[in-house]
Amino acid sequence: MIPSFRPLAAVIALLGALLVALLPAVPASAATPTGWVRVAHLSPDTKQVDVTLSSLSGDTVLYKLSSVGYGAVSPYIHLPVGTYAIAMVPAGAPTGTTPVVKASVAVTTGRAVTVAVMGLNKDLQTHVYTDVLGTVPSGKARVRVLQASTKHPTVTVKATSTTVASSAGFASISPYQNVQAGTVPVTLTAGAMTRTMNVPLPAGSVHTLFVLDTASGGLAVSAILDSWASAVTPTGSIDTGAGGLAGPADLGTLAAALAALAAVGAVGAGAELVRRRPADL
Amino acid sequence: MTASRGSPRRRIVAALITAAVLADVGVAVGAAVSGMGGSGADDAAAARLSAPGPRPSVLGLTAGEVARGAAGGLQDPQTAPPAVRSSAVPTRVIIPAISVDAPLEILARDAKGVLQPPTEWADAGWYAKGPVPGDTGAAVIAGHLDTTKRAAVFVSLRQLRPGDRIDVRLSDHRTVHFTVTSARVVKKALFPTSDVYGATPDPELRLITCSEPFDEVHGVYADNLVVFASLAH
Repeated sequence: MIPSFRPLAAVIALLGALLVALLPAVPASAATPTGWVRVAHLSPDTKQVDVTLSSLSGDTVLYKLSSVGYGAVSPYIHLPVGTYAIAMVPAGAPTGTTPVVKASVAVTTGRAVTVAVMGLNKDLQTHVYTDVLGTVPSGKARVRVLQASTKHPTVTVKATSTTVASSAGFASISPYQNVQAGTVPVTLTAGAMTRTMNVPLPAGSVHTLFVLDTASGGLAVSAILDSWASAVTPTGSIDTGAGGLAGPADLGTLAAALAALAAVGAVGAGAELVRRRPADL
Repeated sequence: MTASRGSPRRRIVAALITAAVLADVGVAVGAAVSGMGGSGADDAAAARLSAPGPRPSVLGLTAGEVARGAAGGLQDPQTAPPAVRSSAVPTRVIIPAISVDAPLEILARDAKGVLQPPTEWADAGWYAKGPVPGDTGAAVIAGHLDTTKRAAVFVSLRQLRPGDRIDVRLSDHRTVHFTVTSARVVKKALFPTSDVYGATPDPELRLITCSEPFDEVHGVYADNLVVFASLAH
């Protein structure tokens, strides 16, 4: 017996086959895991330096910064997970110059670290600090203190009335604190010395307050942006679909969904879908 | 960085030139300059303007100290310019790999704090209390998978692969380029709020739509698809 030609079934079969051919079986996979590293020059009596970041396996320079002065912090460098070598030479020094500082740093998945070169020139130290990412409560800013003064052994730092670091010693880093966002008066206290500066800390921003020396032996603070979250965090998920393409729960593919749609006469939706999907994909 | 910031950068360059001039005449430099405060390669170039280059030995320093870059005393630090959000808003999202070129609505939360989707099926939407695309942080753009009858703007989002390009056009005529890094299908009940809205150290983008299975009882999809992207370099 010769089956009769049924246009609707043909359309269903054709569109179904098309969709199966066009739709990948798995959702997009993750690329190579990455993390972030940045470099800070926090030695008050060390002149500008040139910084290189290279792979530990081999001498390939991956990133270079020229003439990095005291207090400067590089942007975050986004890198595949792994261990990297960081070297600093005096600014403008010829290739092959023995580095003033050599350090290795591990970049781990989704983590951001700061490599800080600290202390007086005769006794340079390298410290690595890890940022905390994640959401920031609505209307708040997140702030922590890195005490890098070589002149003042302990420093207390308040943001408005919140004590962010209490008698912080050299090279110590405080936990992050949430403070009301806005222009925040930051007060540094070291012994009898007190200094207050207004620091803009916008909602959702995450900062490290670097406590630094000045040429005259005083204290300065530099608010360095670590990261930035949404100023207000939405609750839960988002409903971005009305089910026009959905298939029965036990048939998970769009092909099935389209077949179901076509069967109830909604072939237009399928045409729409196909039109929006170039054939070269 | 592809995004240029115009006048703030010019101010930094001007400040650095001033700093270089002051340094050359031996005047202590004020602490209002950052050579590298997060603005990328152009600032590194700007910082070079202030580089004194190799100098003759400073009086009183040993050869060893000079080799170690000793300054011979404390210096005033560079301090960072304040973190400022771009005042531009994104106006279009363009994803060549899946032929998306759509206008952006402004998205907000409802009274319960839930992000509201775009009102038009052919539009995508930008969550305006989150970062501006190209600024530090993860900007969020959502779009419908379908309506009750037809495919919508992000129907093909699941086809994106790591390396695919996403462009966002801004009201100040900039176009910011992102690269897809990964994608995840997540249960709406277990939405990864921290990964989507949490702090990031550099400019990123999240694209969100719905994903099967469809919950017939409640008339909603049970899952979201989240595409993660970072600023293209």
